[in-house]
Amino acid sequence: MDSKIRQFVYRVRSRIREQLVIDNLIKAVGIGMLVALIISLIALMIPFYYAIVFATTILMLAFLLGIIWGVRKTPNPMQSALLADSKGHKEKISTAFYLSGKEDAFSMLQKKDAMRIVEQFQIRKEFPIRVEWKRVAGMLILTLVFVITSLIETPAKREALVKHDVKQEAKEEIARLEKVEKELEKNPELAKNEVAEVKEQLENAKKELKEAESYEELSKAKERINKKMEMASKDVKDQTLAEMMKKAAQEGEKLAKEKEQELAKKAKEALEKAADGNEKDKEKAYEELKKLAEMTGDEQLAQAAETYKNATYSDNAYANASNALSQTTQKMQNSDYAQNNNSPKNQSNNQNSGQNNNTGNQNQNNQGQGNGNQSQSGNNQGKGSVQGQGNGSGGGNGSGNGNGGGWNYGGRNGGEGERNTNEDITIPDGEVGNDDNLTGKANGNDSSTKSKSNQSQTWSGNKVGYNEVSGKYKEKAYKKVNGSNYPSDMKERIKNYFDGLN
Amino acid sequence: MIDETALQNMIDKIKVCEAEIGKGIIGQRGIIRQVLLAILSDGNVLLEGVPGLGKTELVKAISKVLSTSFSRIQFTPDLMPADVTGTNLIIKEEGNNVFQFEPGPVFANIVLADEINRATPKTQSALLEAMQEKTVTVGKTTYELPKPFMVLATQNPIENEGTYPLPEAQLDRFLFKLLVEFPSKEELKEIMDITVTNQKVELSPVINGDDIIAIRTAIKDMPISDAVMDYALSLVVATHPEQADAPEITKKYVACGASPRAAQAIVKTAKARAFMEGRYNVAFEDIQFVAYPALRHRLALNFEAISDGVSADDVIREIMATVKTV
Repeated sequence: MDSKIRQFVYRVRSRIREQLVIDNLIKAVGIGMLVALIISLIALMIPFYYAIVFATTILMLAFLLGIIWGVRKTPNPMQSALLADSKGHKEKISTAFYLSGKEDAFSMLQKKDAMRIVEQFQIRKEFPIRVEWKRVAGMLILTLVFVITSLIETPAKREALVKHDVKQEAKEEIARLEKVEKELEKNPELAKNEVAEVKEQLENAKKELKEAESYEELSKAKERINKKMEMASKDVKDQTLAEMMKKAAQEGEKLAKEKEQELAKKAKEALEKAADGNEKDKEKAYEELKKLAEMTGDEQLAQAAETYKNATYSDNAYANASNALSQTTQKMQNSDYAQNNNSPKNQSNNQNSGQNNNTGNQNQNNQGQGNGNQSQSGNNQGKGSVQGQGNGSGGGNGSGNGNGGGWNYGGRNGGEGERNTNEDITIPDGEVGNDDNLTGKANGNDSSTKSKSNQSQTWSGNKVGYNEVSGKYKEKAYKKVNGSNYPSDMKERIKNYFDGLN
Repeated sequence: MIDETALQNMIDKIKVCEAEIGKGIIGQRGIIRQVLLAILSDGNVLLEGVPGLGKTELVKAISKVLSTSFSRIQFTPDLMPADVTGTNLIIKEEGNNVFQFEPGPVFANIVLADEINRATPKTQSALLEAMQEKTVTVGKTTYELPKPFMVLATQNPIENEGTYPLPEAQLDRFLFKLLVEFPSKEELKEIMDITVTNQKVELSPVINGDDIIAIRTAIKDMPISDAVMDYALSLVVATHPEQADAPEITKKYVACGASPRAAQAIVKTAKARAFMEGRYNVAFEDIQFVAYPALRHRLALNFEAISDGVSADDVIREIMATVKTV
């Protein structure tokens, strides 16, 4: 009798537990869904990349909590017996359960009495599983709204996506830098003080990467880091360390190029898909173009992408965007070509080309590095700090596009721009003064020229490393300060300022 | 060892007894049942009601049906304790003067203390020992009262002049305080039919003192589950305003909560009720049924309750609504 009563009580308990789990599950998932919806709504306005992941996690947690809470709230066997009694059985079942093991006359009579009830008790009928359909309906409505809000594309969502991608890339780059750091630590033979300096630079670089919030910032940060490493490779005396830094810088550049190419490829694919695609494909193409433009710093492409979007993806704008993309791709290829051919030998041959090759129209292949100011639209595949005026007209087989986008046979017809007067100009290793100090003529063979244009197409050339420049300036500043009659506090402040430039 | 048949016989006897008393007393079914519960639980009862509601008749009817000795003491201000308990008389025995104890009217199975609040506290106190210990002490000798023994006292709630309200200590010794209500119109008509005509109702004895003692013994063995016991005790605890989790009404209106005797009274009489209902276990409803008569005279209400017109029953009702069964 005891075991039968006990079994019955446990069956009732299981049934109650089922009901509690269902009730709590509905409540918990409802609350979870509400929270998820709020997160999803927030993500419509505030960039929050992990909104969906976060919301889904909350939902899953709510689901689990609902089950756990339901199980936790399950009454103990005595309470279950009392709940069974509450169906009009005047505590016969709970008393019988309580008397389990007792065999006196009264207890036996009581259990016998309880058994009559237990045998007729229909658990499913007395404890039917009830679902609160109103709550379920509310939950379904919340789910629907959540799904809809999750699918809505907003600028905040796009921004979040971009930020996330940037952070991911920054992480990859940081991982690369950490790898370099580890390699430095592994090698005990390296000069410790130099390693410490390099490590400090790497730490700063990581910080810079972490702070990057757009492709443009990231791209610039990467570029700066690579340059710093390159400069570091030149500055350090330890040969092995120099090699390591150089290798790291080259690897960084290579990766950056690969990334740009990858983005270009994606943009191209997206644009092709957008040709006959739907609104989403077009938006995607715009996003990819924008991303590439930011990464490469190509303003023309950025402008074309914006026009493409603003013109509601018209065919005309599509053609422009497509053209801009082709040009960007071409530029990237040219840059690669220039880099590939930028061997030390070539460099040495063309080191002075910037100063010497600026006369007249040219259709030549200047594959080198120079610091001259050129006004050219020719097939100049080189690296240099070029500021020029590109009024050349694309001729021959080139696809002339816009202002000076000629290819192959473009002429270099740049004219001298207007000089700014009364402007202080500092010439390296020279005096500070106005632009009369510039003795050269634009496009001439003099030592320094200047030209100005708003219509030039330029290729990014070799840049002088920040460290190099700031280092020299710092050195000069130190010399001047030390030789001056400034108060010592002021001297310290000036020195601190220049120290802080690195 | 008690078997089912014996228990069933006892239950049947009680039912017959209840029905027999009902013949003489029209209406007041609840009161009859509660008086029987007190008898079966070995307790004393205080019946409160305005004059003419049949309180004395009820006690008389019970004594007839129970086939036990019965005595009635009419409490008046000049009633002395010896008039209740009995006294030592000097008698001549074989030429010598000796003291001989002459038992008072308290020496009966059922004692009706009519209008108990009219006697002085001194006389009222004479009943204290009898009610609690079932003994009477006169001089240096203690006399045991016959078994079963119970006091059924009555009091009038409206004529307060010249009365001596029972002190708390004495009230606590009453298992139940029953409020005798005015009968309904139909019941009143039945009363007329019996009392103002030549129609006579003869009541026959159904059970005797031994039966009552046997039933009391059986009832004591009645099982009560932890949950039900816990509920009964929670009710008693909830009457104490000093308890942190006491209901609001208790904190507001109760000056002093029920004593442990209240818990004993509830559990004992709940068992008796379950037995009368033909069950072998105590249910929550048994506790709820006996809570009012067992608690109402044990709650000391404060002035605020009196001024707000809140009765002990109101407090008990609220407490029962607050304390949950499951």
